[in-house]
Order: sequence, then C-alpha cells, then structure tokens
Amino acid sequence: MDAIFSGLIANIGLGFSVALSPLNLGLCLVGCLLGTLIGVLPGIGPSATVAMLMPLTFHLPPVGALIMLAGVFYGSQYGGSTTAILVNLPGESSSVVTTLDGHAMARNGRAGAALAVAALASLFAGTVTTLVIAAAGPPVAKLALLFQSPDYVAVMVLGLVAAVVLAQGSLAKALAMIALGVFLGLVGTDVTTGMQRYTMGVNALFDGIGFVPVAMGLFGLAEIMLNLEATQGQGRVVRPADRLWPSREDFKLATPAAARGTAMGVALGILPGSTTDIPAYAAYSLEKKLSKEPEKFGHGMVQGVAAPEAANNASAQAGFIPMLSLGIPPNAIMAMMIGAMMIHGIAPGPQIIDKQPALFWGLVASMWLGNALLVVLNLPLIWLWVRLLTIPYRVLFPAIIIFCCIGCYSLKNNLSEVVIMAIFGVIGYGLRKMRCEPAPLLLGFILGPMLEENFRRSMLISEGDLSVFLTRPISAGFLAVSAALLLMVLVPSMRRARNAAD
Amino acid sequence: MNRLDDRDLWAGIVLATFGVLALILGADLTQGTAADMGEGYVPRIMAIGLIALGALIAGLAIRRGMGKPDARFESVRLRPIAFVSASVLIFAATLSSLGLVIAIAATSITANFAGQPLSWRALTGLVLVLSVSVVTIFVWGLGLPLRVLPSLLP
Repeated sequence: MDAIFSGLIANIGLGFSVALSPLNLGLCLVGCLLGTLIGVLPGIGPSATVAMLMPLTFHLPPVGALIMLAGVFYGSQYGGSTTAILVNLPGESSSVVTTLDGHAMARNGRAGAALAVAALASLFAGTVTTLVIAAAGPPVAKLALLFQSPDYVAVMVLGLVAAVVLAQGSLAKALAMIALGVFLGLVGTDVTTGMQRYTMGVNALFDGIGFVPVAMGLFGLAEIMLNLEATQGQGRVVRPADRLWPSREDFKLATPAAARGTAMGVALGILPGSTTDIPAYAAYSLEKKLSKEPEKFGHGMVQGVAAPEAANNASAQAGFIPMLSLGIPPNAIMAMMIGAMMIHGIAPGPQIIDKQPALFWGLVASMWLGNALLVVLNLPLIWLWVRLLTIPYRVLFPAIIIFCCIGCYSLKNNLSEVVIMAIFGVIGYGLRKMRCEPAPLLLGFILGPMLEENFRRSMLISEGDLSVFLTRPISAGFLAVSAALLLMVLVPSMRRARNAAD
Repeated sequence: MNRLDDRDLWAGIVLATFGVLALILGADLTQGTAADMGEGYVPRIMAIGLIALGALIAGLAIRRGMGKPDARFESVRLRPIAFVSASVLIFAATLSSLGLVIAIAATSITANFAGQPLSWRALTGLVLVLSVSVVTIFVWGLGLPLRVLPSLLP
C-alpha cells in the first residue's frame, strides 16, 4: 500500500514537473483563456469550442498540445456557465440546469456570488476528479493490457451502447447515428486488404475522411447556421454584476452540495458514453430532494448552482479515465482529444501510461492547474467576459468561420479538407433539424476503424464463431453490462429521466 | 390530419436512403466470410443497420400519426445555411491562387449575408482586423506556409 502511495506521489511529482514547465504552463493558461473566450459566446458549447480551437495545437509538441486542448475544454465549460448565469443562455445542455438557479441569483443581484460559487464548485470537483484519475488510471490500464481483440470489441460496444442510452431523445436515432458514424469512419483505403472503399476516386478520401473537418463541420459550422437561424444575428443585453465573493452562509450551503455533485459526476462520468448533462440534472434533483425548502429551487438557491456545476465538471473530467487508460473516448470531446493524439502520432491505448508517463501525468497535473488557473484568472476577468457578450454575433461569426477554414486547411495544407468541412456543416445542420444528435455520430466515426479491426481479428481467430465474445470473461462482462444498460432504458422510470433531460 | 413535415419521418427516410446508396455504391466491394472479412463486410453491416433503423424511425412516426405539432420541423431559413457554406467554399476556392487577404475579404463578405448584414464600413473594419490578426498569428506566429497576397505571376 505504501509503495503504491509513494509511487503515486512520485508520478504526480513528475506530472507537475511537466505541467509547470514555462511552455506547458503558458499553453495551459492560453488554452483556458481562449476556451473561456469562445465558450462565453452564446450558443457555442464546449464541443464546438474544442473543435474550433483544435488547429491551434497542431504545431505544438504533443504534450503541450494536449495540455492546451484540455485547458480549452475546461475554459469553455466555465465560459458556458458564465453565460448561463449572466444572460440565461446555456452554451450547451449541461449548463441548462445552471441557468435555473444561477440566473435567478443574477436577477436577484447576486450574479457575482453565483459566478464565484460556480467557479469554486468546479475547482473542487476538478481537484477531486484529478486525484481519482491519478489513482484509477494506472490500474485500469494494467487491466487493459490483458485485453485481446474480442475484449476491445466488447468495451467499444459498451461505450457505444452507453452513448445511446445516455443520449437525448430517440434510441433508434442515436443507434442510427452510431451506424452512420462507423460507416463514415470506414471510408478510405482498407488497412487489411488495401482496397479503396467509397472514395469515388476523390484523392482527399484515400486516407479516409479527416477527423478535423468532420468535427469542425458538425459542431462548429452547423452551430453557426443554427444560431443565425434562431437569433437572426441579434445581440443580447447584459446586466452588470455586483459584489463578487459569496457570503459565509453561501459557503456553508454550497460546500456539501458541491461534494455530492462531485460524487455523482465521477460515478456517472466514468461510464463510457456519458454526457455531462445527465449528472448535472441528477445532482440538481438530488439537492432538491435533500433540501428542506425544495420550493425555493429555481429562485436562486446556491446549492442549485454548486451541485450541477460540480457534477458537470467532475463527469467531464472523469471521461479522461477511459480515454487515457483504454484509448476509448467516452464522449465527443474526448473523441476530439483522441483525434488530436493521433494527429501527433500517439497511438491511444493502455500503453500510454507506461510508455509516455510524462504525457499522462503531465496532463493529469495540468488538469488540476487548469482548474485552479480558471478560478484565479476568471474571477477578476468576469467584467471582460460580460463586455465580450456585448459584441454582436454578426461581427463574431464571420471571424469564427475564417478561423475554422484556416484551422482546417492548415492540418494537411489541403483545401479539399475545407470543402469536406463545408459538406459536414450542412450535414450537421440537417441532422440537428431532424433531431439527430451529432455526438454519437462522432463517437462512431472515431471508433469505427478500431472496431472493425478488432472485430475482424476476433473473427479470424475464432474462425467466424461469434461465441468468442461470450466465452472470454472480460468481453462477456462488458457485453453483460451493455445488455443491462439497454434493458434499463426500457424501464419506465429511466425513460422518464431521459425525457426530463430533453 | 397527417402532415408531411414530420422530422422523424424524414430522418427515417434520409437514413434509410443513405443505407441503400451505401449498398449500391459499395456493390463491388468484396464481402468475404465472417472468418475472413473482405473490405465490404463491416460497411455493409452498417448500411443494412441504417436501412433497418431508418425504416423503424419512419415507421414509428407513421404509427403515431405524422406531423404532430411537436414533431414538425421548425421553420427552416435557407439564408444562413446557404451563405455560411458558400463562404467556406469561397475560402477554399480563393486561398491558393489569390492569397489569404483576398480569401478573408471574400469569405467575410459572403458570410455577412448569412446574418443581419453589417454596414460596409463595419465590414471593412472587420476584414482589416481579421487579416492583420490572422497573418500575425498563423503566418508570422505559427509559420504556416500560406500565401498572403495574390501572386503577380500568372
């Protein structure tokens, strides 16, 4: 036990020595700032922000690139909460809950306190989750080294099933999005046979459809189209914030709520396929149930801000566990992180912790630093974010489009990628209009080639016998959990919770 | 009364059509056997899955009665979608021959029509700010090999 503990200390020490190097610290800072900057813009959620800013990291060293990208991710989440509280505009579904009491607090003239509670609850959740990742990552990766192809297939199936179960709206649509994503992920030259699939003679497709144009099109461009359609390019009016620091009473109420929210977030977030909105909703309703005055929720209860913010942040970061230790992304943002790793030539998988300890532990340490930096930086900068909200969207969106174009082009210096991005922008718009979520599509897209390769290998070894998935204990276990999850959706109470989250 | 502007109905139709197209376009791919899969095996499974799920989605929409008020498409405005995608395509068309500055100007002008258009003065200001910042960040800062101005040679 002592040896494990001192090993952990040594590893965290290594992590901080990496994360605190001037370059990495600077990148973490820049990432957090840029993430918040884009994240506060109404209607641009963390997925879109990460997709848009990913190209800035292409030319950095791999560790720095991932640290910056992680910073962008926390920053954008924090930025989303800021707009949720100040102007009642949730950047994405998970901050919808924050608007309930956060914006109510702001209307009561307590915007500053609400923002500070959100930031501190997120920091608290981030600190705890970072420790969980540091403790759980290596054992999970050790276990994963025992995995063979059928087990990988099973764990990916679990991830995809969980994505379906936790997705909003129709099950059939979520499944179809995954199938579409896997299919699109397979376009290009088949690694095993060397044959081309669905490239239709287009050079740019020989190596497959690029991940970056797909992500930027589906999340970045589609978002702009939908925003313009919904708001017709209008700006929104913002109220000035008052005194910043929460009162002692606020702290007394918020601290246990943040702790419960964190526990909820980690527990749900570690599930592959989890989104951040379910934990946020779950934490909010738990607080409401525990409270002696549930009728006051929605009218500016500080617990109603602390718990969902903590849950949201904890679940988002817990997603790093399957991402870093199995190489399997649990959500769209982690899929983008995997994409970024592959762009830098790092093969995702359980070997990362052993082979690239500086990367793993540096990233873990930078997670905590990023959360701390956000609090230190953003509390004084709130006035700036509020001012930024006064820039009209019609000035911002052409700039965003141009940054998307340049970013997309610069990856391969190939303009076909920009055209592909435009096509996926239209596809993303159409899918959202038909209420098909793009997130499961992106997960399927990134998992598609891995899934096919492992499925093929499993079937080759078993000579075409599907029972191989049930005779190996690891894969049988994952498949059993997947089946249980699917069954759960058919139980009415779970279905109601999903619908309530819509 | 049944209405055809039901988004579930169309989601099903579009997805199933995509699946059918995938089968047709991939007709010449080798299927192989389960033990020795060809390049067409897994894509075909996905295409068949899309057809089945698409039919299911559309079927459920028909069964519950099409065009219930909460299942209709929200109003679609073509302006944002047309001009946003056009602006991206124009960027792709102009960058390599005419350089970054002209590409930024052309893209901004096109994108501007997607929302509530800015005045020409504001638009000029936006293009100037964007050109300077993009050249500073991406060309000088990150050293990307981008042509800044149009080449004088044909």
